[in-house]
Amino acid sequence: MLSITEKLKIIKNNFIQSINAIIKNRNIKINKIIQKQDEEKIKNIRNNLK
Amino acid sequence: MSENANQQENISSVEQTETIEKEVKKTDEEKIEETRGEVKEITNNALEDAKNLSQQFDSNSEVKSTISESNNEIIKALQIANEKIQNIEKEVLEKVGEEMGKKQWIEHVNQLLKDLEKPEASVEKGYVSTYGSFAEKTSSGQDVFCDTLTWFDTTPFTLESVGGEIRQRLVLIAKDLTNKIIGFRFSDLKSISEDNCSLEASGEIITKIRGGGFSTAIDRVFEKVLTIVANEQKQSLFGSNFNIKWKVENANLRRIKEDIKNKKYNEQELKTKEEEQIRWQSVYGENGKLGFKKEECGENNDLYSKIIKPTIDDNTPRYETESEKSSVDQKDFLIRKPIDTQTFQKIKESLKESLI
Repeated sequence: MLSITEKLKIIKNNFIQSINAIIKNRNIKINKIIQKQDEEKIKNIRNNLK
Repeated sequence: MSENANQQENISSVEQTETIEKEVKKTDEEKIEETRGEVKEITNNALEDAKNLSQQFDSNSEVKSTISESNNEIIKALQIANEKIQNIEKEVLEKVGEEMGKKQWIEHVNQLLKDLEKPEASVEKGYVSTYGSFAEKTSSGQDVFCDTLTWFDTTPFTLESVGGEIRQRLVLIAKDLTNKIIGFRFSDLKSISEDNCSLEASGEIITKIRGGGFSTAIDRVFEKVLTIVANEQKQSLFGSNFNIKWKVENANLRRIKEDIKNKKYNEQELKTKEEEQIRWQSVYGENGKLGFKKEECGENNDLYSKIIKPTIDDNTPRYETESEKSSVDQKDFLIRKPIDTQTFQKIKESLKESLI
């Protein structure tokens, strides 16, 4: 059986992992959005240049 | 390695040992609070970073919306972690409660065993009696069997009461189906009126397992026994106005107040006591299961009482008078019968066994 200290350590580590995963996921999403927006901008500039 | 460097290493080693010792000495509650604080700090840092990020993309509504969504996820993760920490806290409280209960049980059983030493010498003379054995069920249907013991004494019985006048001592010893002692009530009955028509019953109840409904079952038996005492007294001595005022004190609440006043407590024990006292209120408090009413007695108002009146009708057995009791031949007809040495010793042995 796990001690209270061990149980609390697991809760804390799981929480840190969750937060890291949320941040990682968010950053990937933001990068994709920016990438998409940049592509749109380039597309627009190209269209304007035609 | 230079002497200075050696000293430096020794100092750092001492500091390390002190840190480890401090870590070991932390109470579970301190560890819980520390984890709670750390989790909160991680959340705050994550939200602060998100705020800065959001400022960088101030004009980008799509990015800002993504940041806002992930902030909600962070807050949700914090809630889940806090729920888990709260469950650990509950577990710790239960553990503390068990330890406190065990300590209290041992203390009270030893007190009862010590108290039984005094009338032991007079058992053979017939001065220790019983009102018989009674069966009751808990609200969850578990059987409880109560033996009764009674004798007269002048010293206070309860752990905390004071006094010196003659009182009838009444002890209920509760057993389960396997004959193991699961709790007991010790009580003193003393006169509170000049005409001796009113008795006051006070004392304390203690159970080995908390929260199983055993106290309520034991006290239902206690009420039956008090009614028998009231019937016996009315028929033999005091006529129609006889009554017994069964008085209970919220001892847990009083102890909580004393502990706070004397600053002699730790938070977990206090929380456990507070939970116990809520259970107590549901049984003995106003509108509780046993029908007690709050006593109007000024500042220290943790007292509740219930009046037990005789219930004599045509079917009530005829209780024997003191003069009738003197006849050994009529012993079998007595409601309050002298207990035999063997039964008395058996009760004592069972009590000793319950300490293990």
